Amino acid sequence: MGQAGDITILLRDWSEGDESALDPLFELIYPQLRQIAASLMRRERPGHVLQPTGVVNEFYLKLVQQERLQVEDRAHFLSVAARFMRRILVDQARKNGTRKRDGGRPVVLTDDLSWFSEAAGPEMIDVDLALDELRGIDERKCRILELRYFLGCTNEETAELLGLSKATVDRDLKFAKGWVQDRLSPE
Amino acid sequence: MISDSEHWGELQRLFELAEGVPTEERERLLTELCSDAGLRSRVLAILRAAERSPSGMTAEGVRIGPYPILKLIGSGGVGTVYLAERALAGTTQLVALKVLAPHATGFGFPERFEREQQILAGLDHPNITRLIDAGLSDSGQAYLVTEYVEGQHLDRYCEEHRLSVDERLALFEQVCLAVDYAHRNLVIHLDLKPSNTLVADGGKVKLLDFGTAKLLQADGSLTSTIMATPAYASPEQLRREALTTASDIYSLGVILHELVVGQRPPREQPVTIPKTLPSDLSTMILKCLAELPGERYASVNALAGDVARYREGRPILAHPQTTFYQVKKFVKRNRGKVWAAILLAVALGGALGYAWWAQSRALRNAQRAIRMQAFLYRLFKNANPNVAGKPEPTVKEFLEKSAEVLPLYLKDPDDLRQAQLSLALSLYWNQDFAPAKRLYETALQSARRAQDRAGEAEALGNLANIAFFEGNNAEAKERIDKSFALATRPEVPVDLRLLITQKYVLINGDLGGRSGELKQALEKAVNEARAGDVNPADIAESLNYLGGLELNSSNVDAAEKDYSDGLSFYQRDPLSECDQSLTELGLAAVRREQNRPKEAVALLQKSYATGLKCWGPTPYTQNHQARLADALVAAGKVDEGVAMLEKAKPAWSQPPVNRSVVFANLKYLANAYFEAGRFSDAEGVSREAFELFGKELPAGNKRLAGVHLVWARALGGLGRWADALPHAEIADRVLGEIAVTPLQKTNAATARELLKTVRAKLKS
Repeated sequence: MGQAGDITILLRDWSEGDESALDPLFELIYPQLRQIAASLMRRERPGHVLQPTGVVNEFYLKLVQQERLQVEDRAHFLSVAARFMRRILVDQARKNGTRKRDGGRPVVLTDDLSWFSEAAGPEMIDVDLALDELRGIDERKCRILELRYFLGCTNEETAELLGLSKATVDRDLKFAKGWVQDRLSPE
Repeated sequence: MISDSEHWGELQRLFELAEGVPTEERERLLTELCSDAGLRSRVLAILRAAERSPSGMTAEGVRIGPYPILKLIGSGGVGTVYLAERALAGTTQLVALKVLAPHATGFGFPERFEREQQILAGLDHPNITRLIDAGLSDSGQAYLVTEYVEGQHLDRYCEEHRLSVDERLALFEQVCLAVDYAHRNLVIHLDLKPSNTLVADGGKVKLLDFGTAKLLQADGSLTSTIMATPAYASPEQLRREALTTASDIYSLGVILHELVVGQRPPREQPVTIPKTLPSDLSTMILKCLAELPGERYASVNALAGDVARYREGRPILAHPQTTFYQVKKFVKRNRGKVWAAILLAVALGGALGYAWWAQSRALRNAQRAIRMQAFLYRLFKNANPNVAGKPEPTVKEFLEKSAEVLPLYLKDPDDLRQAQLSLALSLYWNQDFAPAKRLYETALQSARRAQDRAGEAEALGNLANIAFFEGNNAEAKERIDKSFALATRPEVPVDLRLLITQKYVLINGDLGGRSGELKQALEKAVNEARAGDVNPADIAESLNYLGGLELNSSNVDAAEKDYSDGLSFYQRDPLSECDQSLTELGLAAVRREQNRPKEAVALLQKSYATGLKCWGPTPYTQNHQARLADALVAAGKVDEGVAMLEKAKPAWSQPPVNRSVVFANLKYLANAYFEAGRFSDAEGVSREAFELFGKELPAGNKRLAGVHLVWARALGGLGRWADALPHAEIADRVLGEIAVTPLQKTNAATARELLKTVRAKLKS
């Protein structure tokens, strides 16, 4: 993410009302989001395919349409991006119906986001609910989780974004992931 | 179930500590660290959940339908594309397999899919990747199989092969032809971009992703739930509005820009193109990127045609599409500033009519007119290549040219009409009446079509002005009456209504209308304007009118009130110096009628100086000065008055000559000579004045009576009583009829006395 300066400037311009900043902003963010999509697809499991680039475009457009998201800086922006991903996935999951897959095995969050394809239905909704609960208890952990498991940010990136030490992110992430997964299917 | 949030910190700490030790030791550790059993079991649960492994997934032997998948090629806006194989009578063929995401297809998918299949299968064009197959996978995913093309994206290809602009345009033409073919088969692509336009070896363009295109509905439009790549998507696509082939044209515009400029155009409207680009290319690009679909090329074929023409060095067909937002912003309709206060002239001398004040107002507004003309000139010059670079046209030429080209720049009929009305005004101020009239007629038709009552009233009012100026009284009256009737409607703004009422009163007054009714109409309009949000200067102007009307009816006190009111309004407007001088002139006339010449002198001195400054030496300024001289004489400063008039007289006969003005001036001069005892000069000038107008005016005319009076007095002074008699009789008879104001009474008394004297002298 070597273009931090550009993004910040664009974000500031955009939040000050310069609509033309949105396109270059999107272009800067887009490759990262595309990488996520690509990494998803590397699993090459065309069965339950969700199209992240479709998701990203929808996100971009929602951004454009909503116009006045409270975006102050890049960190916030990416968190918002992550939250968008989340919402879109949930919306999609709702459309995909109520049938649970594979005999009800719980979803496991994976670093490479291949878990998306496992959570095409009500599983995603469960994830969503669990995250909401998490946010109510510990907002920072929720953001870390979202950045990791919805955008695929590395721990270094997340640490930089949120102004934390990598060690903190490592620790928080592990715990939060465990907590959420436990929520998804308590023993 | 314990509340995790209450023990959050502890939970995490315990988690971290337990995580560091092997699984079998965790329980023991936790028991050491934490006495709460519930908490301990939470930690363990979380630990176990954290360590769940994802279900195994492998990618061997993946098939979609009957097609083995070889590898991922890329992800597009609405699906993922794989390289797959197709078994074909003993050999295998490489194909591109695109899986369509469920969310990309919306409701009613299976039926539409089938229909699309058929249409897309029917697209058979060398520059379009052919659809081979379509189907549903086991897992319910829809897919399309197309021929696989190896090639580079259009932009990459152009860069790497360092193609010239012409070569790029050649490729772009291929793209256009392919899109045009699709459009003619009722298919809109909706996701045109360089990554969808491959260039294969040999420079052949292949358009991809027609599988995501949509069919046109019967009404020629459709809405899409799939979103194209935003950077190439048209405004209506982003707003999720109805889409037409124009959306593809927009995307083509973006691609064209990218090809010739090197980057995509910025998103804002109006689009700015680098000035270094040849103007025809700019024009083409702009015509693709217009905000409104209706303003773009009507068809891809038209665009391709212009590209071909450009490449051949022929002129393109598209008009320059420079937008005219500046005009909208700055061109104001100077409704209230055009005509007014003409009746003041009528009141002030009787000899002066509508035309005089028409002229002076035109001059008064000359500054404004010049500014407006200069502004429009700059705008048009920059926007119109036909004008730029040629020798400076005259203002007249420029204005007339502007009238011609205006419809090219302004497409919205209301904008066009506004601009036409303003431009017509400029033509009028420039005394170019014929084109002004034509333009007003056009604006009138347009206003009628659009049911724009205000526009109609304004156009009619100005046409009435022109007609009156040209001496077509019948036409003027007809038009202004119509305009006035329209202006009474509530949708017409107050200031426009005021202005039109002024004109109405003016024209009808001059044509012998009933002044009582006219006065009422104007009073009503003025009162409404006072209550409304009308410019104080406009109200003052109307008060000038009213004052003039009152004065004309010899209601001196009412006139005084109107003029004083008007002055107080002008005080609110610091730029009103010139207008204010007219009111002062009116007030001076009132003072004169009130036999208060000293006050008249003061007012006239001030207003004359201003008038000279505002309008320079014109017949009207000459008359202004003559009034000053007359007031001086009446105030006892006879020699001063005479000198002033004698000095000014030679200029009166220099063009432009206004006979009414000269007539009035001569009357003053004759009077001044008489008061100075120079009877023979007085007689001579009286004769001069009479010869100007005497034949035309009826014997009982008021203005003429004044001449008869001074003539009689001069003749009396010379002792030629017999010659004096007829003049004295006329003067006595006519002036005796209208003795209302103090001055009129004085004059009537003078005439009576004179007649008595003359008769007496003749008896003896």
